Amino acid sequence: MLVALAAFLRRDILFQMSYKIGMLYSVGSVFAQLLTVFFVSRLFGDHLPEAIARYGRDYFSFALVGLAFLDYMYVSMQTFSQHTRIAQLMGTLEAMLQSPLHPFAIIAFSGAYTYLWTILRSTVFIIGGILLGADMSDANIFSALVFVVLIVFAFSGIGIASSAMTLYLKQSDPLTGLLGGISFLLGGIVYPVQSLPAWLQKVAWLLPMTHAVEGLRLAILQGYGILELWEHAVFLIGWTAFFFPLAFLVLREVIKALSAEGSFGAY
Amino acid sequence: MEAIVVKEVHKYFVKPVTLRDLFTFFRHREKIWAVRGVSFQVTSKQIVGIVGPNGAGKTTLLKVVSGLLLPNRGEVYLYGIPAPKAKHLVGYCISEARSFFLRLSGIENLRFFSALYGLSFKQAKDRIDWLVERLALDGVAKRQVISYSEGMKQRLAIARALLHNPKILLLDEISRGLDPAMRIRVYDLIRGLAKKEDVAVLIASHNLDEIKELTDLVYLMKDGIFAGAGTYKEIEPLITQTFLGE
Repeated sequence: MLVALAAFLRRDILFQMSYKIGMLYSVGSVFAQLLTVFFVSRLFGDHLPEAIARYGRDYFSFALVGLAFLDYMYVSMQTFSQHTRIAQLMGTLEAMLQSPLHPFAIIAFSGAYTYLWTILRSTVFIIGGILLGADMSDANIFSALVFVVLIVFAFSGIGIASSAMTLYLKQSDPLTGLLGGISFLLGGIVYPVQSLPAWLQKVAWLLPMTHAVEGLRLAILQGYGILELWEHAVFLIGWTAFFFPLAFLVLREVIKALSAEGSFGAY
Repeated sequence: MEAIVVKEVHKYFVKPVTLRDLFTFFRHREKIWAVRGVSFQVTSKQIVGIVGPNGAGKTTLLKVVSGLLLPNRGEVYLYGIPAPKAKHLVGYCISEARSFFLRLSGIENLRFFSALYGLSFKQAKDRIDWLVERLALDGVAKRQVISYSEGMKQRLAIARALLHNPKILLLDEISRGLDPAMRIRVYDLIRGLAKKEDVAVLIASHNLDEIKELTDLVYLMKDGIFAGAGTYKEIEPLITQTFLGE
């Protein structure tokens, strides 16, 4: 299994390196986003709304945490279906499925590089932010790491289900994009949930991203331990417990159906 | 020993479901029959050919034997194991030029697929070196596959099918794109694997020279059924009649 995982990583690193301008663009976009947040944060000065001030840090630190971990949500929801679709279009899916490696592993490992890149990107984002003055001196690293893992699991269940639908319908799944958009809008990424109208705040707290970002902010900016963040963690674990088995069930049925239809190679 | 046992396999296709179909409560899905009640066996060391015109059902039958496609009825066993659970025994040379990562080199493609078959780095390196040499890919192995000719891609596909030393080899239109000298080289390799390493080989083709040159036993396939069986010499008139009558 580890050999196969390493092979997927190696394949995608080599693939990305063959698109050098694309690589440069990806690296450049991290710094562009970081500087954008930095300059926007200067507008606030010392006059912070209560909803942000309660984290005890400036707007730059507040927004930095939201944006640094946003990619984990998008990646978990979209990378599996994107890679599945590419493999369908390139004709490599059928060749991979011919191997004894389990289809679950083929789909899961196809996201390995994207996760590695996301870890690097968020690390650079955070370090860059600290260099620009973000204050994370009280961060509880353990709690933050737990929440990163929870985001990955909470959203990759949806991502794997989306990949199964892509396999079956031979087109990208629009639902994950919609959920991503709603999560960005309501999840408290660049502004606090308290800025939303009261009824929308209720909707926001039904979204896993809202709990993930809140947990991460309290862990990184206020140094909360995992026990103090249990409510947010339990919400994410519950979401994972529902969507993960569902995703595997959907994927198993789709693979069964495609094996009967013989349409793995179709696109 | 019986390597491949195919019992009464039936396979039909219906149009794949689209998003629109999901919202269509009633829909008529016409069946297109590809294989109708086919049975046969292949023993180790044996090279069996399935010959037939385009659309006869050869590739579908090969995919069913490979475990990639489930039959609607019937059973396939590979060394006594149901086909979908015996992928580790099978080397399948897919007749699809798009089945490689085109921006990676030939070697990198082979390394990737060898890992999917569970080969360690050392095992993969030794096997790839041997295959690259046997299939005369030395000069191009480090080039991106996107620059390969059809013949080079075909040789790479053969190498991929042989990566894990399979006990059963399924070959679909094996000589497509190969020049005469390379065909001889590939035929020698396949014969050697069957006779010296006990590999059971099943070849689907409409290339009569390939079938004549390689096989011990031939099944003539037409409209999803076997219309004849025997050595190539025995059923040559029937094959000629089928192809000329097409």
